[in-house]
Amino acid sequence: MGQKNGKSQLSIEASRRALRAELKKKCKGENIITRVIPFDNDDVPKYLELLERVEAESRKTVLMVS
Amino acid sequence: MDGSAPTIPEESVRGNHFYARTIPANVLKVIKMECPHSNFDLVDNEFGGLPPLRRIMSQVRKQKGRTMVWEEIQDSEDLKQENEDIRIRLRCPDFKSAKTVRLSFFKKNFKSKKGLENTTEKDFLGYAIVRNISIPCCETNTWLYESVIGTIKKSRDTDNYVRGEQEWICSIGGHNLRIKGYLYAQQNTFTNVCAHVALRTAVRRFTQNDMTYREMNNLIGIDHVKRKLGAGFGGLSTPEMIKVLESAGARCMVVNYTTPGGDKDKIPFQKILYGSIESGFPAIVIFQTADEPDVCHAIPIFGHSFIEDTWVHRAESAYFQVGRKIYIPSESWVSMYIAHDDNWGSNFCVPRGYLHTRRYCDWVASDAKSCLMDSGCVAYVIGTRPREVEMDPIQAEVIGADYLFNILPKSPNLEHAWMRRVLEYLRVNQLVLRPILIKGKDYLEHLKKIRDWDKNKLTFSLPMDDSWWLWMVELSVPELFSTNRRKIGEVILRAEQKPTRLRDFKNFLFARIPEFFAFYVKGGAQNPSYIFIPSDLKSHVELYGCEENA
Repeated sequence: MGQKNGKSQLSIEASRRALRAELKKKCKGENIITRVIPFDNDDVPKYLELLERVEAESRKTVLMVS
Repeated sequence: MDGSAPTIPEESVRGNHFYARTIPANVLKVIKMECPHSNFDLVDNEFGGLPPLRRIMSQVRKQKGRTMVWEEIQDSEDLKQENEDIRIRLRCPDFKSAKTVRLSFFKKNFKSKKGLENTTEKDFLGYAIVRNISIPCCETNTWLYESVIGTIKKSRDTDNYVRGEQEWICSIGGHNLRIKGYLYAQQNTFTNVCAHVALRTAVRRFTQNDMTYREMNNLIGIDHVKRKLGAGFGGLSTPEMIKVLESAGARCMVVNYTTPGGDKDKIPFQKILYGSIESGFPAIVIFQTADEPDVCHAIPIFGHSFIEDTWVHRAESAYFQVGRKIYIPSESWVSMYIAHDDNWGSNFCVPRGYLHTRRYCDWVASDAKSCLMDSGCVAYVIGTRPREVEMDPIQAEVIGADYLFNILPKSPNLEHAWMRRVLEYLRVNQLVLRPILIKGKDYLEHLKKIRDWDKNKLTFSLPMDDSWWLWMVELSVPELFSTNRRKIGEVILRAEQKPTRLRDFKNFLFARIPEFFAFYVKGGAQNPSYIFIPSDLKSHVELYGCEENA
């Protein structure tokens, strides 16, 4: 699993696939259940937007510290 | 991040004579600290009653220090840099050097240099280096150049948690000893200010070396001629502080609280502090002071205490709300932050409730600066994490909550006793979330050690890259979290991937709940499909860092 600039190069999809395969093998494919679970609101995406905006504004603030 | 920022040389390049803590001494005395020796007399008579040294002596006394070694040291490279910069800054060509004393503290009783040679790291409590300059044409000043005293982990009535302590090698009478801790330093007021010393504490978490003040000033462009520091000349600006941290390898999360209210109230500063220190990375809190609101003071925070029986999580203000998602952040159990204050000394406990971003004063709320009650508050917070970690702790917590709170009510085992309880705690907004930044290898170790309440353990290991940075967002309920230090499950997020607002599953690795691992398979944000794969762990397990098989 290669690394570049301290970051792992294995994609999230590949990571998940490898983890899933290992777990499936362990339980011999038994008792695996599939569910579709949609999100029912936009609360977190909106909060992440706010977080991004506040931090960008904060970086422009100049306070003198001495 | 400025790509052109210089890197700090490695310790091996710098050698033993670079730092004051390892330079040989000209004079060495062994001083017995037990009664009738008076630390008060020593600090008054030799160091002008220097307050931070009093604080250090108190910590040494508390840790049963019995012997002190006094050394008058030569000028190391870092001290020479400081001397040269003071000479330029004060325009005193005659100034050559300051008197520098290194004090080292030991639990062991000994009377001579031979006794010192027989001491081990178990006996060593830490050290303090004090400088004094007296220049007839200019100034007299005594300051505590640096000190490391190990943090007391268990106090009379609290447990203190300090993660990410660094190792410092000291050479005392030629005898090398190591001490772990966060370095404390006091500003000299001429060539560095409180911003520099707070940065010095924080930066070392990201570098092999202690960054010198000259290196910080060079980064920023302070030459002590065109731009000076100290009383009447100012200090460092917040963007400059961020630049120093980021050049050292940190990634910063910053929020400005000087104009409180509105969106800022939705980002409690405690979450930035806790998100850094719980994962072992320091934060810096910047205050506006009542006597001089235009000039701020900075302190580094690097630990916290935990109080099991706190009432805080029951108080309404302790809830954290993201739209309709309401839960209890684990930092509700923090009673104190552990911090250095360059004015007063090291390893202080700052009560959590003492820090505010705003002291309410309704009748002048429209103009914060006009009200003295609004001064002395938290004005700006800088959280840190490693440069390669794109996701910040608040993003991790809310993204983790997003996935977990969505998956839990549709899990395949809702009849399971713990799932029923979890859903009830979710309904009454009493779930607890704790984000912690770890490496892949740490998570694998954690999985090996944890046991459910019936002592079941995982019978396999996961194929996971040791080097991955992961945010583990642990899910618990108040009683289980605070008393048993256990959890119901966790969500694992890849931290090196920049998160988006699209619910694109780019960070979501999996969630673990009683009896199952939940993996995303396909379907996108509109219709995500998960598979639930059976797990050996059927109920609650230990929190990260609290494993019983550790």
